Amino acid sequence: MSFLILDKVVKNFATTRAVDEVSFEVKPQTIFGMLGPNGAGKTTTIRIITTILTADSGSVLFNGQPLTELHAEEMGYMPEERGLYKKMKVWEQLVYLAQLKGMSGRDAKRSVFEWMEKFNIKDWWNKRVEELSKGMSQKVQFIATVIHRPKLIILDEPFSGLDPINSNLIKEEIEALRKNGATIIFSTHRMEQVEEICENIILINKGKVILNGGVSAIRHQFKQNEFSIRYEGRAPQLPADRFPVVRTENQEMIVKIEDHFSSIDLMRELVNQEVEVKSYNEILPTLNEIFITQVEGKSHE
Amino acid sequence: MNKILLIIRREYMTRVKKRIFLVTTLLAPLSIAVITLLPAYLSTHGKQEEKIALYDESGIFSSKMENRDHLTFGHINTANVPYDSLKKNYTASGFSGILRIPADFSISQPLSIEYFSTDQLGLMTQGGIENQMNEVLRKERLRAANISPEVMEQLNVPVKIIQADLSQSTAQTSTILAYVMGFMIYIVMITYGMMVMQGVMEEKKNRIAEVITSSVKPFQLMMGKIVGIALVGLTQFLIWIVLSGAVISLLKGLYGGDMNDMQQMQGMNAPQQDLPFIAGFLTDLDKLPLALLAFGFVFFFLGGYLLYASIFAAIGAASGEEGDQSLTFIATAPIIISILIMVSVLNQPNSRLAVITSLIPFCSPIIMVGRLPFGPPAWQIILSGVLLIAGFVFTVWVAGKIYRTGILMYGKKITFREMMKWVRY
Repeated sequence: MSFLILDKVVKNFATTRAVDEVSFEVKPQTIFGMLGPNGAGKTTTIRIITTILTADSGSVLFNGQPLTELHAEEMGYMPEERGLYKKMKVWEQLVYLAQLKGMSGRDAKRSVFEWMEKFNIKDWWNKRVEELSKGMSQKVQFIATVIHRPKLIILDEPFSGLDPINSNLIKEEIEALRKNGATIIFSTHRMEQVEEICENIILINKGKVILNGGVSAIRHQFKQNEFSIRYEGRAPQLPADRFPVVRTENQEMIVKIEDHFSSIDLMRELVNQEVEVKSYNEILPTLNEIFITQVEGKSHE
Repeated sequence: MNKILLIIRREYMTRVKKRIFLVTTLLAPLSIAVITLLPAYLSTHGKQEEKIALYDESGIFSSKMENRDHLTFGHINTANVPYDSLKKNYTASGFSGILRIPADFSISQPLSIEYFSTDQLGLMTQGGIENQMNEVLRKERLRAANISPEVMEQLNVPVKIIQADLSQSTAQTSTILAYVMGFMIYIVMITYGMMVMQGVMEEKKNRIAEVITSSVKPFQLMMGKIVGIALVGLTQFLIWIVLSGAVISLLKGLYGGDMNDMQQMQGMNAPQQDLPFIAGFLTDLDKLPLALLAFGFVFFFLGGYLLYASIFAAIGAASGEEGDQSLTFIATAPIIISILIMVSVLNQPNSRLAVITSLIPFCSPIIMVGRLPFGPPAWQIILSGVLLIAGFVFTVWVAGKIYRTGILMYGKKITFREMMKWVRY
């Protein structure tokens, strides 16, 4: 049973259709990647999920129930453009935002100090946000997003502006939250992070879902049947009609296997030629490559 | 706790806790008090004593000039002291100047009086001297015309106009009160309206609006801000009312407790300025329906504030990061026009212009408040109030729609027409 189900969600603005029959499902306790170029409709989709906007048509199921504004308290949303009151003290701000999410004042206060301790910013509790460094206010923003123990956490570019240490800290926290029962939607342009963190992704372009599935399934779906062969000594002489060479450099050869042939055929050929193979790998396209070809391909149509 | 209450509390507390709030709250009435009290104080206490040598060769004035209002006369015996020697030593004798009336001075042609001094004669002092001399001359002329002092006394009883329809008050006091209240509403509506607009723009610019609207409805956020800032305004008013109460009782103490005495004094020497004027203002103030004025003031302030603050909020939401002058003008223009109309309306508080503009919700907060001290008919006050309520319900509704769309719209310059389109979403 999926935690969040969007079914043919449509949102129109004055002249444009920002979200065009978007459907996807997010399984509970997974990290779900939402990808797409700027203006693809990611933010609008997120705003529909967070009940900031209502869909013109289509349906959203949250934890099995039709989405209502009451569910907003069970969600935590960190927008890409971070938002905090600059003049407010860190702890006051966090308590305020937690209370708006339905926490009691006392509960919020205790929770705020626990998180600040965890993130090593306890000494800054009484500072104004404008006095914090960018990384520190990022942490505050993250705390604000998760303080009320939301069931669904939506993070838009959570690592932008963070140094590797803090990036790791946040990454570990996201993983811990997932283990403790939260479902996470993660919107980003940074494909290597998606490959590393997400189980399932969708790719949105111009309001439409153009890819939807597991990360490795998608990579296999778009593979070009290319293999990398590292060798020592004599280079293999491969028949161009069956195994055309894409490129060769430094004792490494990238070879494409044509249709009707398989990896076994290629290996047999290498063995026959007595090539000293050091490594043999299938080359899967990166999400980045898929992203670019898909987005460009669609826009050329 | 209700979420809108949380928002109201935050909007209120962040502003009231600021140092600038305390400073402006205390400085504003202080400066008003200084502006009104200082001239009054200076006119009674600030003057320097002036001693003038009266060198009267004609003998008409010598014994008749009185010492009053920091002005004393030293009568010089013209037989013993030659004018030239007096001119040399008058300062040594403590005089600030010599007033010389020549021997050929005539009461029918009083032209040849000269004042000799190295210092310029002050305007007030000169006026004081001239007044006294005129009084003396008038008496002399009447005597020359064989009119007895008793007849003169009877001739001098002045007329006094009492406005029967303004039984509670006098026009002058009402006008002053109308000005003060009208301008206060004007200033407060603009400054607090702008405060709402700034707050909305800040939230939009910080993108905190996006975080907050994922917790509460945009309308709650807008109303929370508007109400929170209104409470800041009311707090300020409350402090001012307490302070002005203190100032009025201080004034009463300063200018003597017995107001009846003051009125008599006012009747006696009518043009004699500040002291009886303030006393008169204070006695008139007691006669005005202060409770109605205070209630009307707060009611029309709140109504007008809600009406304009919602417009300011919508504009703040629609404008970009730097604000939008032309959109802001949509809100400030009717406020400015209202105050201009009010100034002219005060001369004729029951004219048709006054009645009509005090019913229009965009003007009534200023103009009806300006008319209140003149006692407009009750039906006009009630109708104006009802229309104002309807007016702000409408603008809050429209503004809510614009706000909802504008607060999440970035990087686009919004025209007035687009803003109106959002209303229909």
